[in-house]
Amino acid sequence: MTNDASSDAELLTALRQQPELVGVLYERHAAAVYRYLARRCQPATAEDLLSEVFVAALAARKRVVPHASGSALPWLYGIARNVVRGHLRRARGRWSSGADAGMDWDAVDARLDAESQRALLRRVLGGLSAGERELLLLVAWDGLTPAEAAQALGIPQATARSRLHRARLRSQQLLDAPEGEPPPGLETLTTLLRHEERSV
Amino acid sequence: MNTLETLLDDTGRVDDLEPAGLARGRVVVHRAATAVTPAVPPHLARRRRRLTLAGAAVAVAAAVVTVPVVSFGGGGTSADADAAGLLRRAGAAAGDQPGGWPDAAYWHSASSYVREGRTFRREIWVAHRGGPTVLRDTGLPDPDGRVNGDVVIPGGGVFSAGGTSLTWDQLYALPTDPGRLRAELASDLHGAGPDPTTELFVAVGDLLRESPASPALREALYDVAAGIPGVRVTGKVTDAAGRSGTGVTYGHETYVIDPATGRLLADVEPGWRATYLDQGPSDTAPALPAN
Repeated sequence: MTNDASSDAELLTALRQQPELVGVLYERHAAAVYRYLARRCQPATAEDLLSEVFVAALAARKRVVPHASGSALPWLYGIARNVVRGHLRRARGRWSSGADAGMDWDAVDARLDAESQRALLRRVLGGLSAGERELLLLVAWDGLTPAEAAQALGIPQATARSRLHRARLRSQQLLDAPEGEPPPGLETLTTLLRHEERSV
Repeated sequence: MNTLETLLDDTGRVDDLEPAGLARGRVVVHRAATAVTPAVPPHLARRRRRLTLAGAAVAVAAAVVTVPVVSFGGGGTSADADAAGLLRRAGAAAGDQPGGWPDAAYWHSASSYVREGRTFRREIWVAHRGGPTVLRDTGLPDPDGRVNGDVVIPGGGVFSAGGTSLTWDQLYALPTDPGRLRAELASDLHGAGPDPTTELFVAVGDLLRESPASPALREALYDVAAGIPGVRVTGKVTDAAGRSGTGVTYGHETYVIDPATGRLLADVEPGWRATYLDQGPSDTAPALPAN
């Protein structure tokens, strides 16, 4: 068996009995998990949290169910999500906000060069619910399929698909709306959704 | 015009982690995997291998059960009479073996295991004081693509005992009175495993399987198992090395024991079958890979 030939699914199955295999998981996915963290936290924090994700994976290995795609990343991103939330909760203390539970906006701002880009991103993502935003970003930033993202978030696939559809639609509307104008109301959104459903 | 995809593409770009950062994380993760460092939260650091899971019937059927020995019951305050008798006999035999290795340099264990229909060989040299613990496992994919290479376990030198792990010296400090040993092991479970009794059974197997436990401690470990309610004899078993033993089962885990010598020959659980070929003291471990 070579490293390439051993799929993530095999690795996750074996990890249950052989915790040392977490080292293989790390070699394979640390870079991607770091990027997930760095998109949501300061780079130094992301580095600190990276090993925390894999140590938490070690503790959770008896409960792992590999995704049908075979990739361990949905599972690892789900763990990373909890690690980020835990970190931000500790860092923010009582100022913790439910809507921003998994995102350090200052870190995101610091990463983006242009002021205009920051404002746009805030406008677009700020108009989504936390669940919609997490789903949209897992797909757009982290490259998961909607089904994989559903697993990372622990939601049914059908829920993920409709939530993603709604999130994309709403984000594009927010993006297209002239600055300062209120985002479209629920009625408009519902009409658009119906239109999209018919066209699918 | 801004499209959503463009905006998200642009804002999702981040720098990769430097190799030094990756290396720092790697050390923490490896230490956690070997459960030794105080830098890791204790509840994680203590977590070790082999807590049992569902699906035992399939796995037990996968062992070569030649003559099923049926027994009944399973409640009460100890293993059923057949199992308790067998375990105590095995314990007495283990206690009669020569040995006791409080000062050896390494503990070498060799086994083979079957995972998803494929057989792998595992050898480990656990260091007592200072030296590197070396793992040679053909089922261990190497990060660099090398297979069958030796892997050094940083900070190794511990022995699994269910949800916890013990250093060599801690192992030799364990009481050899079964009641006190049971209490000591039970106090160290910390909620690991599906339930305390299962975890205790797993801890006993861990210490019999790959540790320098003295003959007296092995006898006590078998006595602890004999006191676990619900442990039962499941049948005569021929292991993968062709040796005959008797299966003793609790929950989803079956130990194949040779009552004449007190050796743990094999164990079987869902998705996993291991055969313990040899273990003993060693003065040396294999030379390390160059890097």
